[in-house]
Amino acid sequence: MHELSIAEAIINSTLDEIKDYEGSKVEEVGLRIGSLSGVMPDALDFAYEIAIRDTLLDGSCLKMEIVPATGICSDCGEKCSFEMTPFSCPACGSFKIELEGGYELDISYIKIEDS
Amino acid sequence: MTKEIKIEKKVLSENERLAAELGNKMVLNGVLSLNIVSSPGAGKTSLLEKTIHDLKDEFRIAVIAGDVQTENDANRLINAGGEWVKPLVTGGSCHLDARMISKALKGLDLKSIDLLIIENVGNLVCPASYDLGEYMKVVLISVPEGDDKPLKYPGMFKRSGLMIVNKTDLLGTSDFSMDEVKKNAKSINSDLDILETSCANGDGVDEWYQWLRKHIKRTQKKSV
Repeated sequence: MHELSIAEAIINSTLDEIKDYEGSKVEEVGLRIGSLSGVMPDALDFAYEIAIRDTLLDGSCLKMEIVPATGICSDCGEKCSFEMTPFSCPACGSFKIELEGGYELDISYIKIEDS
Repeated sequence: MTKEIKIEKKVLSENERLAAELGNKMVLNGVLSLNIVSSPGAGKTSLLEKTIHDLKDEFRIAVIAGDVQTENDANRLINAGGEWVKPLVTGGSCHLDARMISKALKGLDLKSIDLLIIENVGNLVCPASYDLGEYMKVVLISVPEGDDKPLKYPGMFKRSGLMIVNKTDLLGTSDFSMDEVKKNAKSINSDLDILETSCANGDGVDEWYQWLRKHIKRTQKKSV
């Protein structure tokens, strides 16, 4: 259910962005999805396919770039990247990590067939 | 001809815009607003029942009670003495969003309350993505759920400011370790405040009330 509302939000945002390109069809929407965003790519893909029917996005596809959780250790300054929890600094073991990436849920580009 | 339009737009930007509006309104009116999240059955409603019952003469409390179906939670809170309790039945949606909150708040004079509690739908995944304009997310977990919850749902624990470990009366009935759950939570979010409560025997609820008093005072100072 969550992914369906995300898919609808992507469609609305995209329609808003292509307002000035009348008559063009959307081919592809590029997304950046953080590993902590709570969105499952497969489920989003499935929801998207259903939600685009009968819209200007019908026939388009999603291209998802997964962004890992990244941060800086507040104790030693090490730059870290995390595949899995816990978020501990690989250099000094501290848990004081200022997360910089991982929450993304952004549209990065829209490809349209320009008529 | 294919044309690529480069943009940098948050998918949930509309939710974030509405949430920012809500947040500003809360600050202006000196309302402490908390978004309470947990798995189903962790004890959100039980803790709120107790809170309303014990603090209703001290603070003016409003509650939005989110549920997928039924108004059971809202009714329990009204029975506990809640003066302004709004059921928000999502009819299937796994989270509340800022638009639902704006709608639910219609008719409530924010000047007339000190504390707004939003009881989210029981779910530790989806509600993490939707800011409701709250001052803080409070994540509740209960002893029977296991002490590795924070590691399994890092997004929610990272975004929360307070973790309440509820049902402490059940400590010792399983291999749940309080030290372990605290260690796991701090490994996700080293700034997290942690409280322990039992709604069954009342242990720890006074500390929760103290926490509320401190933050209500802080919010009211900011609005002056």
